Amino acid sequence: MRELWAGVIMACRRWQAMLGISGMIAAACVVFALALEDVVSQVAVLKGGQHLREQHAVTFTPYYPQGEPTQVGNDTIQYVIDQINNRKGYTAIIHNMALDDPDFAGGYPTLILFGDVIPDLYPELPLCESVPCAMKGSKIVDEKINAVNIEGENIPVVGTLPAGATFFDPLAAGLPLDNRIVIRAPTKLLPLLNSIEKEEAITRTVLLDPEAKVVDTFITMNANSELYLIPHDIAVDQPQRFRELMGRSAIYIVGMLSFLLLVFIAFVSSARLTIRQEDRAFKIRAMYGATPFHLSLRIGGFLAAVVLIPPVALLSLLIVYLHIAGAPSPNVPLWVILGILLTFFLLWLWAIRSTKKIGG
Amino acid sequence: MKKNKWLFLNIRLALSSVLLSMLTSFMVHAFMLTLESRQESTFGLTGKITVLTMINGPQEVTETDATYAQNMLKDYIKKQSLSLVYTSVGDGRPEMIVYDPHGFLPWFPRVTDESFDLTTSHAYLFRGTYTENQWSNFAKAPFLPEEVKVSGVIDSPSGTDNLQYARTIGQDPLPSGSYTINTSDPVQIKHIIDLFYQMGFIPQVSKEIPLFTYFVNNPFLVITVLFLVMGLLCIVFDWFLYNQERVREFGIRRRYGALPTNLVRENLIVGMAGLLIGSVIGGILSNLLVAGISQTNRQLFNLQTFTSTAISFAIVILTWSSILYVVIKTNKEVNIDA
Repeated sequence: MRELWAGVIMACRRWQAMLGISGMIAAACVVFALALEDVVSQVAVLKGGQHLREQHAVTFTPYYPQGEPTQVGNDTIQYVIDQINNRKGYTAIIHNMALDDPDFAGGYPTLILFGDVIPDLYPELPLCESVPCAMKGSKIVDEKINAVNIEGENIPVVGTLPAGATFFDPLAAGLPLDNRIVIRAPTKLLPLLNSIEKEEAITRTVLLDPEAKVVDTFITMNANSELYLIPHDIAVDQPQRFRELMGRSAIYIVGMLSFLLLVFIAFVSSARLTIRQEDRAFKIRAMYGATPFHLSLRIGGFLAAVVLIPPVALLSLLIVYLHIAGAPSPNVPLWVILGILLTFFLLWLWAIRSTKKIGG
Repeated sequence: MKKNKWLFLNIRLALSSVLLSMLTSFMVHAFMLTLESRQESTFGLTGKITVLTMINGPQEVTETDATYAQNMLKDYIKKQSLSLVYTSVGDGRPEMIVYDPHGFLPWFPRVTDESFDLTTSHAYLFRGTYTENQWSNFAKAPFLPEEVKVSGVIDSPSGTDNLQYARTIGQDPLPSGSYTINTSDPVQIKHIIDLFYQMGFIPQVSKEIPLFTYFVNNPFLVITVLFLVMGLLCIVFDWFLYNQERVREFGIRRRYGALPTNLVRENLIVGMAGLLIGSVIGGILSNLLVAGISQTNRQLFNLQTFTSTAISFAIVILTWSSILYVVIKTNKEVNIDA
């Protein structure tokens, strides 16, 4: 332990250069981890949308009426209900459910799903089967939530979702469910919702392999209420958007990898100089009985202080942050930590060999 | 033995150049994206640009007053040789409304025909959109206001996302939303805001987007420049230490009659191959890696690869010669005349 600590002090004696190098390594690792997290999330979204692409799902980008929520007509709601009941579509409410009732679902955020076709589209999401029913996210430990009430309909909470469950709806782009209550509601509740809830249900409608006539009717009905919906074919749109997003992330990843390698090259030069400067001290210590193991520990302490501890500490904080923020792939920085560990051990081996060479 | 030394030197220089060239390519890509996004945000208008986000204000305005103010606005835009582009920002119709009396917008058809009815709004549908498809096949356009006349199909300018068409200003009142004007003159902007006020609007956001500030405020570009500079610092550090280790060799050569300029020139010429090969490989490699990760088809050689290779080569050659000069010229062990 004393040897390790002496190695850390060896790094501290050259604190200007070492602080610069370790700061650059830590910063590059964090940016690299964030870019990687983005890529992994996007790949997951793309994989999650596979069934939707096969079904030629159509989603809509809304342009809302100016100044007030849409007065969705009953005929439009009925049209959506018919599509959902015929297993030709589904819809969801994520943000606007019971905004005027803070106690709704025990105050937890919710995801309301309408459509029997949903379990077939998202087979990786273990939802409850008999509608109406609800499930709690894995981090909701509140035992009191046994049921959720929507417009007089009591919907029982029948289970808990596995940790890390995510809803890969194309419009939600990977919605983490750990802190949410997921409710599968019957379509008969749709006409009973208030206008802002109905508006969200309409804009999140996903139609499955619809005939052009169905899309046109749906768009025209909504355009009459000044809600303009631009249709997108997921099979065309999602891979294109994915390529654009991945293009940017790829540039970050390639850039950060090159930068990290440059910093390590600079560090190797600097470490070689340090080992040379400490050569006499190492020889004296060896004369007084220090074994090669002791010397390697000292070098290990020096390397750890610069290339291991600062980036690992920052990346650990990033993991905690990503978990709290509910990111879809919060454990990706662990891969970067593993990469840093591997680099550290390689550098350590190289440094031990260099010491032997210098020491003769 | 000497051959081995030069080979080692070139490998070392090439490796650093590869990595710096990749970082340069990263920066060049960010620069091009920023330039593209600036063009998108101005819809092809050049010069100084102001974007006004107008919302409905608390003031009471009669329909007659609003129409009068709107006509005044059109007159003012025309007299001051300006252009006005409205875009929807998620509310209202998915449309652009254009008033471009002097033809500053390269993508928007300019009306020269005398018989053209200027009181009616003429719409030009964006090619490939849902609206264009509906109009071409069924002569229907559910997003268009009834009083608007479809006058043609055009390619959309970049950055219009889901917008379906652009139309000329008609007699119908302008909606709230984002207005882009090709001026940043405070007098002109104040006058335009006053006219908007008389139409019932107040500005929510007013931002100028001068070119330099736009680049400086772009985080993607700033990050790439920062990492390029830090990467260059690492190279300076590495090459400086490497040449410091060669001080004895330089000193001996100096004592046998070599001049400092000869030493610098010799090392520069010998290292040129490594620097050039490294820069070229870095440019191509970053292109290939980005194409691989993002699963896109990219050309092996394109303007971006060429630009980043050229910039990177210029940087490394300047850095390498400066370091050689500093080490050889300032080191007492080498510079025996000092």
